[in-house]
Amino acid sequence: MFLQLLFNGISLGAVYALIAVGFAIVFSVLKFSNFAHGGMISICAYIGFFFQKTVKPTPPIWVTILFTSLCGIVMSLFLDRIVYASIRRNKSPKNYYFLSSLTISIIITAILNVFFSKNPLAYPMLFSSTTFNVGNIRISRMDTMILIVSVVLLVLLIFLIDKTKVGLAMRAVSIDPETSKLMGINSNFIILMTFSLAGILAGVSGVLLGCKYGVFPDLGQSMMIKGFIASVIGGLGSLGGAIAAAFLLGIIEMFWTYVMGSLSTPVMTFVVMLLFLFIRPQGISGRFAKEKV
Amino acid sequence: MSLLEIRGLKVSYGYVEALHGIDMDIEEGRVTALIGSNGAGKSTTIKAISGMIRHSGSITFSGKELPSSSNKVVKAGIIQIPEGRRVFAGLSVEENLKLGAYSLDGKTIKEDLERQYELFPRLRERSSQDAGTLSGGEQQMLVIARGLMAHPKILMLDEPSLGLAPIVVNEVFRIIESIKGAGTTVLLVEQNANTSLKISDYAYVLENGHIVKEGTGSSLLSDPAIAAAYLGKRE
Repeated sequence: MFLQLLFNGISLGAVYALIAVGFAIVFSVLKFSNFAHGGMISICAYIGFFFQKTVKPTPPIWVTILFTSLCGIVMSLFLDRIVYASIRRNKSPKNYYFLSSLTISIIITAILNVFFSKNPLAYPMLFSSTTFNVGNIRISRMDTMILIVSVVLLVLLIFLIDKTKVGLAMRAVSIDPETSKLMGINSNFIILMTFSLAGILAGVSGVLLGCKYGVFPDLGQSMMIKGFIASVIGGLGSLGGAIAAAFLLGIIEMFWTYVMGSLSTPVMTFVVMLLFLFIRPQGISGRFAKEKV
Repeated sequence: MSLLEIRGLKVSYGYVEALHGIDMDIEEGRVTALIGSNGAGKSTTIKAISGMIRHSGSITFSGKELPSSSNKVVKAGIIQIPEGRRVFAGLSVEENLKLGAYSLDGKTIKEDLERQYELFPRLRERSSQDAGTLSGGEQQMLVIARGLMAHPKILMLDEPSLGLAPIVVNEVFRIIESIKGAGTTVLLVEQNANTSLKISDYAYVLENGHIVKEGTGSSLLSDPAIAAAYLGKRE
């Protein structure tokens, strides 16, 4: 049972990691918590759902994920263009980002409510049998797929940020945007890049969450809270910290639910966050401690 | 024709005009100094050239109008080394150097790194260390090396001696002379008038946003008014 719970926890943590990184990446470059990410995840879950359902013959899941990520990029850039770009241009206070991103998330959820009601829609069955056995552990195929897709995406992302020129430029902008300009880094390009990556992450996590929990308007917002908590525990803006915290949160949640039942799980996640804020307010990574929204 | 021609350069911060239309010529292969006291507008001048702040008036580089966005200025080969040793703390020394070469295509990056490590052996010893943990002097060397990574046609140094120990200041000026020796044009902005006039071919004196005097480094050094105002000597 222990291994079973551990595996489920890791798989859950992997999705939280995608959300947390989507959060952390925008925070590290632009220094604000992008709550619109939750709304984006919900839209992407719907897009993935209808793509999977209407396109004939039914596309394999990776095609759906790819298509949804592209839609995620487009929406993310659109959002930046109509909302955040003007805040940047006017050099408005950070609170403006916070308020508008929260508002956008609420608007998106409300619109989805109007069109699709609150009833969850179930993704078509992806696998003919839902589980397989390894030794005496019964493993869900869905969870395995989610784990693999998430880990692959996280590895690609870490490679992009740690090893490529664009990634180095993104890190430079996150540390010191003014001096980055003197290196010849075009900050607008880096911002577009950041929102594109956040869009991809929203797209992939939307499809994966939709597969796991069904598609409903609040999906993104409820999950985003987990991702946000993970990125706070990890140290806002730190990708490595956010990923570590997300896995930790996923595993704790699984064990807690097994022992205490699912009703008290949301309480537990916030308690973990509060504990971290008391004991280690700078987060696991210990960077970017001061600016939290 | 000089390499960089500045005509009628004006910069305002809100309603306050900081530069009231200055003219400067920066000759190729020379060290040009811009001296003046605190708040005279020296850093403003450099930032205007870099495209970091908006300006009016004309700046021509090799006979062409200089673009106004900072990334294009860097691409053209005009590199600013900012005041106050702005290293990227949290990135390694080597990553800092690589960022200096961001505007290049990356083909020469290995040789360029090697060249900077030869010029600044301390940086080689610390290449994988967090740049934020270096001493003040080492950080100043790092930002200069980072600037050189871009193959600058003009290197603009903003107060490179500020806040450094005297022995490190001498080292910095020795490096500036060797940069000039390698054929790079230098624009040096300094409060330390004495030393900068000694190593510069030509100098401008900035006061309250106006150029009040210009001449060769040695002629300004022997000017009694300059001596009284900037060199701490009595007439």
